Amino acid sequence: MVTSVTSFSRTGLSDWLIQRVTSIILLAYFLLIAYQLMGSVDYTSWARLFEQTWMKVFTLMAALSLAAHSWIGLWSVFTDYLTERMLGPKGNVIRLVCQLGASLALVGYVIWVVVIIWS
Amino acid sequence: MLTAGHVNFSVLGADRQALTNCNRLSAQLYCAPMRFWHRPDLPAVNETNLRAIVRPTSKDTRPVNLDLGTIQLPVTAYASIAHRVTGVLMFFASFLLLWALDRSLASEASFDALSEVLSSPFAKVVMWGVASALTYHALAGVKHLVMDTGVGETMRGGVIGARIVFSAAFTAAILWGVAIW
Amino acid sequence: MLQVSLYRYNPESDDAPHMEEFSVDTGGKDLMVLDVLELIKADYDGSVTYRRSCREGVCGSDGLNINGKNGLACITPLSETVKGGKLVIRPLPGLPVIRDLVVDMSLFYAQYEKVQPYLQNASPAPAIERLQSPEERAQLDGLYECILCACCSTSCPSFWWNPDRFIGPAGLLQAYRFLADSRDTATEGRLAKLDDPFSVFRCHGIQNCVNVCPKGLNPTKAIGHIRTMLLNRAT
Repeated sequence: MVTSVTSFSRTGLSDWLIQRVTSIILLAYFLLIAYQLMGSVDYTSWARLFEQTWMKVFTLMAALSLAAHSWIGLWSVFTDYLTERMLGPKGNVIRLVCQLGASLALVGYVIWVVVIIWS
Repeated sequence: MLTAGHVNFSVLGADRQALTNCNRLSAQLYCAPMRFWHRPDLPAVNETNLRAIVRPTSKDTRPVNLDLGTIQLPVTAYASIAHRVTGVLMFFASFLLLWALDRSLASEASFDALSEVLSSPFAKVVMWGVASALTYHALAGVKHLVMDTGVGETMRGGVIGARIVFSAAFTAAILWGVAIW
Repeated sequence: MLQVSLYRYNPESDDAPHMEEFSVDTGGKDLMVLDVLELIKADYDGSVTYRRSCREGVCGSDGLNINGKNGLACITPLSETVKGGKLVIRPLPGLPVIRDLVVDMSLFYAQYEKVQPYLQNASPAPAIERLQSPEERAQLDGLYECILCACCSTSCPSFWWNPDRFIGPAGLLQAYRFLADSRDTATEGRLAKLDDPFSVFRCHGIQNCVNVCPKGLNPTKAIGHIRTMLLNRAT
């Protein structure tokens, strides 16, 4: 049975709103990165950019946004296709395994970003 | 209790009695659980008893027409499918992006090694694919945000929006190609 | 001659559905798709089964998947749907097939019932009627016209994957029809029931529903209004 228990915030409206807010943060972050990569990048200027506190905070925000945004998105994908209705009785098991894998990966992404920018 | 419009189960039958029986049967079979006006004496439909009203799917062996190849979709549907596909792609591509971020900031030597790796033809194709997928996902996301404000919710508006997103993403993909090679 | 391909399934003799081909002489006339079905039933095979009643787009019985697009057979002219002399008729997608072109609409009706599609007003009924200004009445335009043919909900992928959890475009259009009604006082209770990740928020604005609605209604827009109401309620 497909339930809302594994959804990000368990209410549709918050999930929807979080999806929007994180999308704007991610969009701003990727536009900044794209702008930085436009010209020729060298190690010194690139490393100096990521040494600044605001950039560290922004990067961490982007990483948290990525995790929340991906979870909400993947959760709807999983609960659409990986269900009892679509795959038979084993659907629930497959979905839970995928949800577990995805959540571990996303937590791993956030930890990785913390390690990258604070070491 | 009966719903005239939906009961008319078209049956060929010369025998009038057979036809009557058949109509009665179809009314019992397909209309019994349906209530079309407020009946305080009956429990309201909720998540728990909904499953009792409809047959559980795992035991239902009747066919379902869901042969996706036969179903015609508007351009808005393809825009949505592509948004989903690029979204799932970006979940996996995030690993590559984080790896590149990690290598680029670890040390000057690893920065140079990364530049070296990324200049190989295969890495360029991957970079182009990730950049194009991300651009599409972002553009389709902006379309969602615009539609959330109530703009472009008509069919015409949706079709125009989807076409703008597809052509902008296509142009961006070409520009990414030019920038990378 | 029109090449007609029909989805056939007889639960008493068939293990699986199959397509059956008919060559129909339309006499060069621009018939409605329902006329073609009636011709086949009368002249070729009397066992061909489908629902129909008013034959003028009012009762909502003959919603079918016609050349890949959901619509009412009775008001879809051949000139609008047939390309290359071929007509493919399949049952509405996503719902269990009872026989040939007849689907079991129980899930669709259950979702409709969930939105409590009737006026709820806590105040005592006045002697004659509950009054509404012309402006308040105009809020219901584009909502009340729905004939529950299920063309929209059965064209919606979110409804295909979760027909027991996602209310679907038809049910949500009716949900908004009562949320928008100035005479209804149950708004808070109605909204509270919709704020889960499935009922409303499975809509991703794909607009298949708007594309197929034979009455030209716009469930996507109604769902947008429901989201706005949920947002206003929360803030």
